[in-house]
Amino acid sequence: MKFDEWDQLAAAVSRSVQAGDIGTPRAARITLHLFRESEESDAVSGLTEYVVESASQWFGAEPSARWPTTPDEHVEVVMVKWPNGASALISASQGTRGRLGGDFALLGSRGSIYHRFEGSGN
Amino acid sequence: MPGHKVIGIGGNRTHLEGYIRAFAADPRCDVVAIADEPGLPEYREDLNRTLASELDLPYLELDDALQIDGVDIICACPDVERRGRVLTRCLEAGMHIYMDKPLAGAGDDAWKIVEAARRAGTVTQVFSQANTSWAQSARSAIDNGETGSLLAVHCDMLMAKGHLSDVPEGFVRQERGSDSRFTFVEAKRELFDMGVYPVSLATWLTGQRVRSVQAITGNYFFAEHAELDIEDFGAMLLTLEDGTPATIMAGRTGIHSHPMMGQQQVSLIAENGYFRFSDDEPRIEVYSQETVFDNPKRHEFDPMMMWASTRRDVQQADKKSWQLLSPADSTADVRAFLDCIESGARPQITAEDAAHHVEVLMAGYESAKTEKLISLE
Repeated sequence: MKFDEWDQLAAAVSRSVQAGDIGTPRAARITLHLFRESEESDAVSGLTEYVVESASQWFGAEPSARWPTTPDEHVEVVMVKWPNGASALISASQGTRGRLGGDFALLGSRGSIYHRFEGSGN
Repeated sequence: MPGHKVIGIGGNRTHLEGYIRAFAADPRCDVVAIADEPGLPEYREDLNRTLASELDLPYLELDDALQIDGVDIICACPDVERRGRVLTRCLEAGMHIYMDKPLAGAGDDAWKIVEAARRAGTVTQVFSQANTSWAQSARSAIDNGETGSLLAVHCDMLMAKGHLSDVPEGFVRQERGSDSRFTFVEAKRELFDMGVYPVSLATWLTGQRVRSVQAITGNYFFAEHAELDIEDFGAMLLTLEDGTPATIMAGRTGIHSHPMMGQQQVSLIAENGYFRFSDDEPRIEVYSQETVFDNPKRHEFDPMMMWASTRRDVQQADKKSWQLLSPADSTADVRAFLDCIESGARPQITAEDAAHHVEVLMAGYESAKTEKLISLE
């Protein structure tokens, strides 16, 4: 799975949100496990912030609070809250072997959007 | 000939509707009565008597039922606020108890139940997803080394039920914490009622307790919850004993928000990659004129579609577009409980495990109120 798949997904979600398909976006659950070239590659830092930027567009504001945790240099997990009460749980990680993939859910006041990232194994 | 005599506590519009039928379906059991405390609100006693009538069973006061010769199992679904008292009474009478979740509405009540269970030495099991095929697959993948060491655990329990109703424009939930009230006719506290499933899964899968809790609650989907000042959604960031993060997303999202019951899954980030286990796979997908899901009628006393009896009353059709290859086994958890009584094995989720889950949920409310990390150490 490449990270540009996220950009495509984020654009599609934005179109659906703007079309009013799910009412007002309220909560997001985003889990991404990406490929890392080697043990020496750059760490995961910044991936979750990139995702938060997309979520902020759907929720219509900048976050009011973030609670991050980084149990490993290649794993970031963050809970985020926006001023209108919206929230997100975002997990971004990278591995050099095994299955890649992830899942996405955006819950709105009138419906939901789901997506599964189907990455190949290494 | 059945070896166990079973009493159910509760009635319609409680989970006893399903649990007691699972006991009745097991050839090892003879369900002999529905019972509860005296002096209940009229609506509750009426609903208890209705279930007893549907099952062609007598309805008795609890203390009288506990005197029936040979009774050894209680299937207990009293209102959350009464669980400490009722379950303790049953344990003092030497009963094995199969309990509805969450165990209690406050940590003190939960630990009273645990102490009574220790004194009784009987088997306790609290309803969970641990005996579902998908949760068992997740546990096996961890235990047999397929995943390698865990880096993060993500568990969701989103219930795709309920008639969506607009939360007032601009309403932002201000969490006030738990006041120990959990029984309402038209809605439930969803971090408590739905959140207990993923909290239970995260701790059971990892074999670890929760060290700290950061949580958010929200009013996103239903005016009924907002009017009662209870949440319809909760998210939690947990830290387990060894420092592994676990996240929890739980809530009620509306009947049209998902083609099955809702997103109910575990995602594991591990040494050997990403692993996902859910209640909606493997499946076929069927799209036809016959599988279009119409807007079901609204039940006056159950707009959240919580109970089988009310869905039956309004003749609500099943969703048909996603169909599992193997239909979910609704009797598996009760069957596992009976197996444990007979084998002496420890149930997957005991009262003691469930007391910890209550602590985590209560910490979640405190965190959502204060926006601070709550330590359980």
